Amino acid sequence: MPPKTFEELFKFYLDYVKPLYSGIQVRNALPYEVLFELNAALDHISRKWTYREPDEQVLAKAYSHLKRCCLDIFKLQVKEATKQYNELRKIDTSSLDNGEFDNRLMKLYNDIKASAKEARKSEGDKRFDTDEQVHAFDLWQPVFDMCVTFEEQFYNHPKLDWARKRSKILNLKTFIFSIIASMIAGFLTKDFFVSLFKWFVSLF
Amino acid sequence: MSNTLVTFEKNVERWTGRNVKELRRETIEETRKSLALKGILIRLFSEFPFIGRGNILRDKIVSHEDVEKELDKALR
Repeated sequence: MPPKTFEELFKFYLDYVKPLYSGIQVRNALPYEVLFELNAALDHISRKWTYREPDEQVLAKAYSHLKRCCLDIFKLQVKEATKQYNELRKIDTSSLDNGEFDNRLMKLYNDIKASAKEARKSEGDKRFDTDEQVHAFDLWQPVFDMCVTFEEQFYNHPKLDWARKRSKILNLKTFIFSIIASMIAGFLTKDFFVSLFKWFVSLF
Repeated sequence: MSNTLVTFEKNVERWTGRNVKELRRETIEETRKSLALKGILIRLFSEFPFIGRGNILRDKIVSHEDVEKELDKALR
């Protein structure tokens, strides 16, 4: 249920919005859209005094913007996890943790995707929030948890630098090998191509 | 305190490496200044249409379906 008093509204702000907002600020990943939601909430609050709008209306609207701000930050973590996953897939991590790294990575990422889809579907949940519980967050919480775990256990894996270097060396070796192979192939087939070219020219 | 809030606080601490009570206590301005002292200038960017309401964009109007598609793309 939207807060009934300004005290309840600011309790929600302090409990959820402030830590998340400070979090993205600390991580230096602050999107305009989050600021727009906060500005919108402030504007609604001001209307109690500037336009004498009823408390109930002001509180419901401000709460809705604050809640949207939190949900947006949760969603951004899914986007961040996707970005991290795509970066990790470019690295040969098959030998990390005796090959278990890749399996666990895929499993956790698939769980994030599945839970995020579920959470998004239930965003319009009309059940009432209580003082102690915000239903829209119930399904986003595990997603947020998994995104943080993903970053901790996979994106910041202590052996990742080693795997990255190994991947670079392997790619370089493949590149050098392909150049040498094409040079050898060119050398071996040189006479054939010269005679083929001569035959082609003789046609005209 | 609800379980959701307790879990949430733990996750925020893991996510930021900062104590959640500290994050709550500090004013936004103090957090910004402490980052600036470390040489970090707050970077602002847009994540629309991944998040955000309204459909007025710089060069075109984005439908609800387009916004959903964008999210589906990220979740694929």
